[in-house]
Amino acid sequence: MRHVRALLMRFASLFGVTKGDGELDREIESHVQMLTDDNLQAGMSPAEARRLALARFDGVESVKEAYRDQRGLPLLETTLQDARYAVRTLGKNRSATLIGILVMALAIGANTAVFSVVHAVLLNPLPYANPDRIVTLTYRSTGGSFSGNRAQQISVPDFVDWQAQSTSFDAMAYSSTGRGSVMVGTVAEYTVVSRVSDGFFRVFATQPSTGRLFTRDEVRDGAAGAAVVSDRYARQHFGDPRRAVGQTLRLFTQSVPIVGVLAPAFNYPVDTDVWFPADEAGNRARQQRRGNNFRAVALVRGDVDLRRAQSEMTTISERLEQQYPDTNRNVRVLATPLQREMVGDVQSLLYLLLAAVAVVLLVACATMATLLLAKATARAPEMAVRTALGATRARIVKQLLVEALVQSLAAGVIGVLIAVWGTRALVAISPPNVPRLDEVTINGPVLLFAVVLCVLVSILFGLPPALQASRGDVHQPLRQTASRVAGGRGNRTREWLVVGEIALAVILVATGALLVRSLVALQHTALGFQPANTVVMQTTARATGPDWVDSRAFFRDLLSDVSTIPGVVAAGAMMAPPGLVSSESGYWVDRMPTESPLSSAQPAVMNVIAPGAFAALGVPVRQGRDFADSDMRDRPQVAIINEALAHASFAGRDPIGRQLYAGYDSKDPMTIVGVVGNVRQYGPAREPQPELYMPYQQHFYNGATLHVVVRGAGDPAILGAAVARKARERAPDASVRVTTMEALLSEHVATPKFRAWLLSLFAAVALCLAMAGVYGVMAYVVGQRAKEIGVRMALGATARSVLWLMLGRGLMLTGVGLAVGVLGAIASTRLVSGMLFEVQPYDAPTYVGVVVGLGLLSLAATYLPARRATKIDPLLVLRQE
Amino acid sequence: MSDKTDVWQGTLALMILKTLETLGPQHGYGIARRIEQTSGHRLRVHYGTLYASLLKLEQEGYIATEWGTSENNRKAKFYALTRAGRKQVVKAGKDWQHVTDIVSRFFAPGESS
Repeated sequence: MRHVRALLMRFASLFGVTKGDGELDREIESHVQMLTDDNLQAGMSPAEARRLALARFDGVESVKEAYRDQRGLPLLETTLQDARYAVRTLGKNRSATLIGILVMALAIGANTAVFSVVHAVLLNPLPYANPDRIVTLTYRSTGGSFSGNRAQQISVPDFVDWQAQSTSFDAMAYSSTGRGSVMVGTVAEYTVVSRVSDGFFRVFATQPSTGRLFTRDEVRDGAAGAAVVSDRYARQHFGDPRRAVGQTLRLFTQSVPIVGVLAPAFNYPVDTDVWFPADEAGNRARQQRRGNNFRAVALVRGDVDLRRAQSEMTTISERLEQQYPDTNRNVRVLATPLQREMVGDVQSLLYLLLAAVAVVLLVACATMATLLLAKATARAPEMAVRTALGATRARIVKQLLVEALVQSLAAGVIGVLIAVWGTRALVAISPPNVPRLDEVTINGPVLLFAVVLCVLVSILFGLPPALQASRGDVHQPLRQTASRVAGGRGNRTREWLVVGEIALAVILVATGALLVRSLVALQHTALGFQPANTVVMQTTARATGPDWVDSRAFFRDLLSDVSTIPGVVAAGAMMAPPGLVSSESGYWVDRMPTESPLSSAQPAVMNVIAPGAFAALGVPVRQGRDFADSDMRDRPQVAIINEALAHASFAGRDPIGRQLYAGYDSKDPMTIVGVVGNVRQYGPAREPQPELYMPYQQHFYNGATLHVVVRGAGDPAILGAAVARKARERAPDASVRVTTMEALLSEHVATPKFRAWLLSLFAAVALCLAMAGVYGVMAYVVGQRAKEIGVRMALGATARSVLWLMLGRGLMLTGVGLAVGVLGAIASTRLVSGMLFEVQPYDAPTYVGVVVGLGLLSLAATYLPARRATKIDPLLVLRQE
Repeated sequence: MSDKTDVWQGTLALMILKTLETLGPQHGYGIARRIEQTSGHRLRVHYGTLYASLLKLEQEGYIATEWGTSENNRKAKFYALTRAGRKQVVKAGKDWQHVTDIVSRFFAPGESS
């Protein structure tokens, strides 16, 4: 308390609130008087009495100084004084200051922008009541051919057992999400729909902003009763959330009233616009233990830590394994914090970006430090004068650090403005799999980050020159421009900084180059199909009967309509076109085991496909035939396999005529009638997997939704519109989503493209800064050694030998920088090996290219000042002396 | 002069407080003179430190100041203990006693247990 009071009074004195020097003067005067009086009484002469009294004070000024230090806050006072001085000094050298500030502003801005994304996506807790206690429950396979695989989707019977047996959770719920055709008024559109079980909203402890959530009865009765919509959906369709409640949604034949609107921040399952109650009773009755079609979330109890919850789930899954060996062998349950699950791969992408901008910042600091070091030498006389007048070294270092801080704060202000723009740009070009981008803003924590960055940066680039300048000998710089010969510790610091800059630039450029090469390789991968001129239209047929059997007639008719469009070369339909495949299942050859644990099956991508789709995609039929309209429900079941599956199960033997079992919607064997070429089902980055195609007239488990694929000449946009028109003619209320195969592909390369572009950008900036640093140092050295060079030339040195003298130094620095950089790059590019495609992290050609490229640039940056050295006129230089 | 000790760091404030408690309101010169007298002129008070210390005590609220007239009619600034100051003298005195007791044990002859 006493300290606070004292501090406040001292702070107040800065503003002249307390008594000033005048009072102290009077007090000292009265003290001297009284001392003099006593001295007189002791018998001294008046002059002697006064002299001794004053002498007793050991210098009145030093007493005042001690008093002033106690009265105010000397540190703060001098800092303010330094800041004022810094502004004046910086203002004198306006262009250099401005360039420095802009460089730092760019670096700080880029860092702040990337951090704002990192903060919103990775660091900021999810906007729910207990974000750290919400977990997802997923499967992990511990053996068999799916070993190590994680499956995000779980089955209802397992969930029911988990819920009954676990005690670690306050609430637990499952959901299933898909794009459904939802009508508002007369317009049908694909909408992300989730069906959620009873505890779902309790897990998130969320409340609707308007209306209500589901009642228990509604959840028990199934999908009939009620719908809850997102704030976004309510605004889009009804203008105002309050107006949404009471409106009706239609799902083909069914009408459902909207009973509530959720808060704007609620977004789970991600992108859901409409929530329906899950048909819990129906799911309990019909769902099989292998029907992994649901996602589970749970709220861990407040007094239970995640590890205990996890171990309980492991125990339960082991119990279920004993109980249901057919289905649950090797199946374990993983409890993962929801935020980590949502962030997934994005984490490494964002940390890569953060690391890259941090490197840019370091290079920028090093460049600034080299520039300031040059200035520090020029200011040596100024520092010497200050030292001579009694400034301590700490005082001078402090003054120069304040100067750096003033610059970096100015840069910070501009940097935050840049970040406002940069954040928007980052969000705009982010790949679609980055979650929570709508939450990205420049907020308090981000601003705090920027401020901390400014302080840190000012120390980084301000300290080396400050130490350098304050090291100075008092006398030497005062003797005017004496003995300016090369060498000195300032130069050495500068040279180390240049080596560091080059090394950091090498690391960034090498990483960028590897990512760009991966991107190029990715874009030139043989996909196994021809994406150009192919339109993809997702649509859902109205199915009246059970099991979606009658949806097929719609697609058959639609395909024949589409084939009449002028320019259409081929048309077909399939459940999952390449790039939209998301999971695999298992198959058996020749016989289906009576006990059929999935782990004894071979993994393959399962697809349902209509005749013509292979032709439309440009997938070659290698053996046998395509499906035909005659492969109907009442005919023997047939299948087409890809070459990867043929290789995996029939290596060297003829697969045509052999039989496969998958046990989806029938336990009948499927006879292989054809083999087609491989396609990269998961996008260009992953090798083709075995795939099993089944005719759309024999399998209906995918429901009433298919993707129509059409190959045709001309503009895909026009073709797409024509295909959509045909669908609307057949079913005016059908939802359609039209895209092109190329657009689907571009989503797959969006992330690689994003990181390759950004890394290249950052690498380019770092490269420019590093080269500016090299140039700056060499130019400075040449300037500093002008006299020496003049003397050498006067003594007969040739231009060539002077050139080499200068080049030699620069080249040596570059060489060391390149070597260190290559070592650093080999160590650090290993971290991005997971992001590389068909390129190794230690790819020799890349490194050679980077080293040669940087070497040449650095040579150029050294050569320009070096050549200027040869133009020095010895006479002119010597006359200056 | 060379046989005089400068006041030890940190003890001056205590001496000032104790002096004010004994003498009542007193000006800076009087305080310095009293401290030097009490020490049997073995201590030498540095005035810069004295006035800084007085200011610090004032900032901390232990003493208050007022201009007045000295015994031989000089205008002088008088320092007086506040209530917090009086409490502080008692407390600091105890603390000091405590510390000296402990330290003296180290120098007590023949007692090593």
